[in-house]
Amino acid sequence: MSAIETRSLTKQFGSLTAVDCLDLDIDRGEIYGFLGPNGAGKSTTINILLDLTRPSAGEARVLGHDCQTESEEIREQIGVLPEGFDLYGRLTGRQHLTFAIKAKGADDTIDRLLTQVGLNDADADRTVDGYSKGMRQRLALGMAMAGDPEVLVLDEPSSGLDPTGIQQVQEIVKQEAERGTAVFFSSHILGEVEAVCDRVGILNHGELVAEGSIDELRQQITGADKLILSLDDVPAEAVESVSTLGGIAGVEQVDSQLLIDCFDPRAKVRAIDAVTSLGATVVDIRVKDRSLSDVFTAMTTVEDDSGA
Amino acid sequence: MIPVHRTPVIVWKDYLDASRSLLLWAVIGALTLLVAILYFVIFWVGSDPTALDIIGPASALMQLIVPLLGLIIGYRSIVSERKSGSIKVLLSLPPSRAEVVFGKFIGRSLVLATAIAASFLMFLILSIILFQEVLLVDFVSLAVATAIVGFAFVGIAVGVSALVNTRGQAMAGVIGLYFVFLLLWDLITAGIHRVVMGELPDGPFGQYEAWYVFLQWLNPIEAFSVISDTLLDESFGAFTIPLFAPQEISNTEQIVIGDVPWYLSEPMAVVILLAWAVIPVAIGWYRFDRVDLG
Repeated sequence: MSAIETRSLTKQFGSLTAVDCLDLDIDRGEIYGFLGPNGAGKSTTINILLDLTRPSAGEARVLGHDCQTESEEIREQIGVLPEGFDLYGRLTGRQHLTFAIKAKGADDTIDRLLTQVGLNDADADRTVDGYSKGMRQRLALGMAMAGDPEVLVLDEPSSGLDPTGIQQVQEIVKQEAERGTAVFFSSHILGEVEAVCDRVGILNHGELVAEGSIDELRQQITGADKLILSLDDVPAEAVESVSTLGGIAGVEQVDSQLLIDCFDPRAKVRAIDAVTSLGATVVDIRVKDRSLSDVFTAMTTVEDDSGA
Repeated sequence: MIPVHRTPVIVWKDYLDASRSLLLWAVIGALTLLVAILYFVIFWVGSDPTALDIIGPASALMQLIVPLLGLIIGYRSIVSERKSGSIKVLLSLPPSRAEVVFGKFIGRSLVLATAIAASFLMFLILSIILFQEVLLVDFVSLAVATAIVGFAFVGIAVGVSALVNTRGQAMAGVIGLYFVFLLLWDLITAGIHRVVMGELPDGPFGQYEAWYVFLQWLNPIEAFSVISDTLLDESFGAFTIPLFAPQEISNTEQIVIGDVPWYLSEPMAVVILLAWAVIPVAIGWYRFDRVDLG
């Protein structure tokens, strides 16, 4: 049984399709990075998992339970750190945790949760009105972890946290996963996802545009460096000659520029050699080299272009 | 079957949260102060006043203030959690939307009950100090009646809060309803009377069709005055100043044409108030349960 499973999940707000035929399968104990720019549909997906929003089509299941008809069973077994949440300013940190523990019917001790998220006793006895954004984030994470959930859903968990806080969240995520908890980690920041996730899905305009382990994605990506050669004059046979070279995925001519996709880094030099040997003079060389983050950007902006 | 076992947790949280609102305590403080002022005015101005003389004015004061207080306590209860985003934390925990709505209704009702208890304690203390009299039965009766009308208005406000999308709408909704009950009810029911009977009703001191009197009773403020008149065994009338409707709303023997039907008995007023508490909450829940909160 999957921790989280969606089939053809679709959500439309009027004419806007926020989530488009999304299929997800997240196993127990897996840390799944749900990556995408703001507005890609990540929070909408999470809202459907929590039954805050109802899907237009398709279905979603968490721990085998239907998200619409069995939401309470789901929420008894999961912990959620929502995005754009607020807490109760007049209540103390301790009261918040007590509330979460009681609501989940759990038997956690408040002190354990406080230690886990890095809040001290003095913080816990203050009202949340006086908390910084980071402290609120920690407290909400503590509430999410009450009751030892089987699935943790974290929506932009590091917003408002300083680097130490971000690192602590990552530690918590790893610890929880080691204990068999599935973690659904939604973020628009690649670095965070890269640091902790076993598998990553990239969401753009509500569609899953890429999915795989960090290594798989990186492999897809290193092959996709784009070499841009500006030539004084493009020889007639240049495109054909360059595209037959090893390590080149594709060549395209735009005016006096050759756009060359290289999946082998050494292919760049070969391509330059090939065009100069045809008598062309290279005026400028640019490389759109693709780290994982560029692929992320490319995948999410190419979609933009095609959509425009 | 709707599960309700997590309602007490919501009640606990909501009571704790709402009861720490400074605005709320300012309002409650003002209410208690009004009670005190009322006492001193009657004590100094009245000619040879007794503790009993305070009951009528106190009932009138409660009629005016407690509905307002109930509305103030309830109108933000759900919509402000939606606006701030705390609803996301609340509903990512196990409680259902039904438990949230009913838990809020109960929690806010307890807050109001606390406020009413505080002001009636003030009544008792001042009664002992100024008149050396303890009218325990009268006070407790009036307090209970006041609490019931208060719950009705908390229910109306929580229902409105669950129904609307913004705090502004919630405020407009409860203020609108308050004026409907206080002023417009008289005119609307007179209009109905005009349509059905072909003429306007008699005015404040006439005789009326039983169904028309019942329409007055359906107004929660009037229903409260029926109950407090009955408990205190004296007719103080509603605080509303009717142009058309009967002034002595509870005096059915006098004001009803012909026999007094069963539905104009005093327990009905309690039923009406309980319905006002529960039905708006149920309507609010029905809509809140179906709305996208993302």
